[in-house]
Amino acid sequence: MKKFCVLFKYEIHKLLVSPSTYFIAAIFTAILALIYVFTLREFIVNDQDFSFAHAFLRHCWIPILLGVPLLSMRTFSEDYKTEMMQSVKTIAIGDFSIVLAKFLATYLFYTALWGSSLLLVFFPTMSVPTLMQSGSFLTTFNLVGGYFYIILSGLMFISMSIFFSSLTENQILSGSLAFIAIFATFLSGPIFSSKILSSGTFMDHAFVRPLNIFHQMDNACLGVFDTRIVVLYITLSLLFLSLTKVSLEKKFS
Amino acid sequence: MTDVVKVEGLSKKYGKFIALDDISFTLPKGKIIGLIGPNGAGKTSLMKILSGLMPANSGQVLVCGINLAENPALAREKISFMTENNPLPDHMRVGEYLRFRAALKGIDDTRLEAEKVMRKCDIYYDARYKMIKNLSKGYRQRVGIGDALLGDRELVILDEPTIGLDPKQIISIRQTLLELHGSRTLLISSHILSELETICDYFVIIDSGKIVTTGSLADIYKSKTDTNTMYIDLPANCVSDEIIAEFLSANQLIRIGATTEQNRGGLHIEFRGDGNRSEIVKSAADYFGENLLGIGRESSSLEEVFLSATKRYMD
Repeated sequence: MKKFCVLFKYEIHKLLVSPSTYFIAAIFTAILALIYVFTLREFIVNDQDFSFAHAFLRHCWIPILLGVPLLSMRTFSEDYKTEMMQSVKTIAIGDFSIVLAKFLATYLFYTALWGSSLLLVFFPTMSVPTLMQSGSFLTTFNLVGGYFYIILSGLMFISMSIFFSSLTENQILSGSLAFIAIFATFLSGPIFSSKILSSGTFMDHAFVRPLNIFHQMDNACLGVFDTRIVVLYITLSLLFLSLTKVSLEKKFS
Repeated sequence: MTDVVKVEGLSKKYGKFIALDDISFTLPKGKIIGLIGPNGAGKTSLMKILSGLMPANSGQVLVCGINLAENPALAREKISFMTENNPLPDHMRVGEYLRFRAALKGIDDTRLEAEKVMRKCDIYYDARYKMIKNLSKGYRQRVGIGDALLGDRELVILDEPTIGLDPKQIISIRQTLLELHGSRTLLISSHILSELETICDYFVIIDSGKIVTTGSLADIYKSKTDTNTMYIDLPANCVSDEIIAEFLSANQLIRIGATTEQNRGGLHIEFRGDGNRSEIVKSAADYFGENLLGIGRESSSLEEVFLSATKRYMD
């Protein structure tokens, strides 16, 4: 545990002193700001069935799709290339501790980035206090639900991207693989469920519909949470972390 | 003599390529051991397996009596390994990095341990606050060696510790390594044979995945080279060529070389023969009398021993 904490602190330190981290943070914030501006304009111009927070957070897939691969593509690939991983592996420390330290450091940074987006959400209410009174602009369950979903799904997306980073020392390749995998995950839900829903039975609907990520996002933003989804994301995260450990072991065999 | 490492029937394959082929040897405790062999001989694979970085396909490695495959965590607590390229994180300062490594190795007082090795490697005053990215190659190597020395491990493995260094830096690192003699076992791999000859007192020669020989330089020399090569030193122009030829002929010796020693103004003649050495010495004394300045067996360099042991290089 002590060695894990040392390694975790080292990973955090590495992220904080790396210029690319701030570059990624800037891109991430820029994407969020664009979504924010478009959502706000839409919200003001047209009548909306949703609150502003809901409308803003349902677009969270865009920064996830673009930001997560950028954030995690270096985790293992860079260490393979610079041979720092070899240096770490010369010490008696478990492979899972190495994987977990890298994962948690990246996940913490991901959470911090999303945390900073709260400023964007609260900014209009601070500038125009009457918005808060309108009720449809910010609702607590929209915010809590939406951010909980982002934090929860981040477990899976980060672990998935870290797995691809553990496969190769080429950062571009690992980032591209992660992008494709996340894109496929987002895309698979609507395609799969639309096919089943058009021809399936009631049982198919009940089973497949919750797997649609956009359906999950909408539900989460409305404050509705399916515990099966929580279990699914945690299980998939553990699966990808285990696969990363296997990949790391294979790299040194 | 206690052995710090015992290797039995070790094999390593990469696909169809056999990197290590059923090798067995022991490494004595407290020695500075040179691991030498041509490129592709299996040195790096061997070092990676000994350090626990890579598993073997078969065979076993005992480090201080602990089976590396069965109890890797405990065995690796006894080993330090500085890899060939000595990767270091550019974003850290030297002292900070060594404290980080000490903490990873489970050392309690990381500050004290880091200071100890920095003093040992002569980087305490010059480099401890420097960013690693600003260090010269020599200082980087010293930081790498310092890292390997953290925690007083029983076996310290150094892969090419003096590669890319200037002569002054080599002397400095040599001095650091020599100071460790007796206190722990060092396994050093290098292509600079003259360097290893200076600091090592035990050698492991490997070629094509097999151990060619192990032992001290004298032992290896005895077993691997022609021990019948001798020399005589004579003053120049005092002994005629005829007398020299007669001496060689009488003792059935073959002349293999002669040089005039500029600084002493003498003649150094090398010859080879199967005769009794003491009789050859007696005969030389009879033939050359007081002109005989010296006679003895030619000593060999590690380079000659290496070439002799790995004969494919002779071609």
